[in-house]
Amino acid sequence: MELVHDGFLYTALFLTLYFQVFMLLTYFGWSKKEKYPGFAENELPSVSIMIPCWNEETTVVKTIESLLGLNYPKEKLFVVVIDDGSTDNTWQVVQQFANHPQVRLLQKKNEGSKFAALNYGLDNIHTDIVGCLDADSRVDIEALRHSILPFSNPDIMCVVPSMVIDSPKTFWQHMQKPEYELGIYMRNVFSSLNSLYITPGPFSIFRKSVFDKIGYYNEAHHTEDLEFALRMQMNGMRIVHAPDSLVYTHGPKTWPTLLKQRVRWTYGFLRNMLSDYRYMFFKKDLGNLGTFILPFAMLSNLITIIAFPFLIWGLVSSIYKFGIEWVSRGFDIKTPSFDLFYTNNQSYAYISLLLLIITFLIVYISRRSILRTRLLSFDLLTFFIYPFFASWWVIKSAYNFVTSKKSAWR
Amino acid sequence: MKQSSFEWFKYVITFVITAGIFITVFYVTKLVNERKLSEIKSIQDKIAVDLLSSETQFSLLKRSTCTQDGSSLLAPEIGTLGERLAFMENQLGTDNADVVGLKKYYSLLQMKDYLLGLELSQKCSFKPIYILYFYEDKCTDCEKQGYALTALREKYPELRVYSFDADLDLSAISTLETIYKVSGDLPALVINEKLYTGFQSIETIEKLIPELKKSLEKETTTTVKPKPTIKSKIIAPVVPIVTTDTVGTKPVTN
Repeated sequence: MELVHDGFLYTALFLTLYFQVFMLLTYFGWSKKEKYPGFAENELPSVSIMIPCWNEETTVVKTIESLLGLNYPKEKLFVVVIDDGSTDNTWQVVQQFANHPQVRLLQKKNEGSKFAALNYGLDNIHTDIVGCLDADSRVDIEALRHSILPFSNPDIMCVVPSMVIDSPKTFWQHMQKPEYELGIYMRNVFSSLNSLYITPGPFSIFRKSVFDKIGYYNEAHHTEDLEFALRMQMNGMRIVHAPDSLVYTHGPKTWPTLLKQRVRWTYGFLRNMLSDYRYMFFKKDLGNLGTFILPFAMLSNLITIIAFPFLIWGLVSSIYKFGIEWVSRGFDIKTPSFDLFYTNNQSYAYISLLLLIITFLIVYISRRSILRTRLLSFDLLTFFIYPFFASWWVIKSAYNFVTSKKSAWR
Repeated sequence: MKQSSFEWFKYVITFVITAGIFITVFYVTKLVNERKLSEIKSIQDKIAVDLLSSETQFSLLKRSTCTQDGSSLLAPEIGTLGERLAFMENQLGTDNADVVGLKKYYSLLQMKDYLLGLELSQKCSFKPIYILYFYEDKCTDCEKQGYALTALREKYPELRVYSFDADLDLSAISTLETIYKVSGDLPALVINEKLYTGFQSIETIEKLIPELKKSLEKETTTTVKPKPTIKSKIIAPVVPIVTTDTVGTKPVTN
């Protein structure tokens, strides 16, 4: 047992550290910052942004307004609202934009997944560039400028933004904030490695020609943004990250909704990667993506699953130990001693500490060079408990995968 | 269509760096553990010297009356040393050869301290308050008993707890067990020459040793100087005589 435990622990730590070192080296030295030729003001392409909405009466107006407020020539920016058969007042609420020259309102019957609404919208788009924004998100005023710039390179087919949790209120939203900040860094590095494999719903911008060449969105186990990115990668289409293109999104407020969202993501990843796109693993002409990024993403799920019982066991046994001490010596407050002798001197402790430092360093990088926000905040403390929740949703997803239980969109 | 490049050397460099970090960490861990163990070892050596010098001093003074405070003749570090050893055992595992060696050494030192205490109590008015404690690994009650005894020792500095790991392959411990008829039923405590098996709570032990509460009263009224300084003053001139002898008197563990 001891041997199995230590063997797993050190293997997992080695792999994680390897991954983090690779990411850091890529970020600091190996990636050449790509230079884009840029557009002259009158050459800027026309852009349509689709907003698929299902029962979004409270947020949709704000989303539309944030898009209309973008710093971009008005005659080249269009908003397409797709009411996906809402049962609330969404359709009535958006009527205030009925005569707006930049806004188009579309309505369709609900089919239970977002991809159908997106495809319906795509059929009604006539601009060269098309994007999408979820109804619960809003964009930074300069976001589109930053996202359009890479398209001045004709090779680039899709640009993904930096996502930020918008004004977090609940604990769960505060937990997602640093997580998303880590995500910005990862996305930046993956972009340098030409290994982005998700084109997230909020404000990913595409050339319309992509859809004409490789087809529209698929159902893809409710993760159409993952499947579409994989399909683009398979067709050698470049996806890049525009770090300064900021999109603010509302993370799930409660644990059940967060769990549902994450199970949908992870389940979708497992489904797509282990069935339809299995052949992408170690496929040579996919470069870093096939050889390293995708296998590692799969492996990290496996590590999370195996780590969970150990995490729980560690937690339970330390509570038990504390309980025994408490019962046998009674409740007296010991003066804490700072004797260096009693510091934990086991290798895993040092490596875990190093990984924690790297994690904070990454958040520091994101906050300093991309978000330009406060460097320290209390939400960083959530890193200590995040693994428990992450294990939970990964295990639930794996369970659903094994038992072939479908995850619902909502 | 641009084909993605895969650069092997980046992966190799990353591997070298990661492996380097691992090797460094393992090396540092080993180094620090060795230092901690040698720290324990040097404390034990010091205790050995102190005990031997106390014994010698005691023999020298045998015919005169006991003028000094008897407790100053016993080794004060023995309790805290036990905690350090327990911590190292926890970190390195019960099977670690260095830990086992140090534990045997420690057990013998405790016995010497205990015997010296007995001798003192016969010849002088000083009466040490002590508990012999037998335990084994992986027994919940022993863990509880350990916490309770540590708490007691913190509460009553006069109390001397001599703890012996029954699993330890040391004939002296077996002999001690035979004397007090300690069977496999652990934890076992010897208080005032009487054997108690099973977990004994702090309150029970306080009742069994009424001297404990009294010692606390005495402590608050009479103690002026910290014990170690008194001790070193007394022992200092004797040390050079015995140090030459310590190599031979170091308990040889089998």
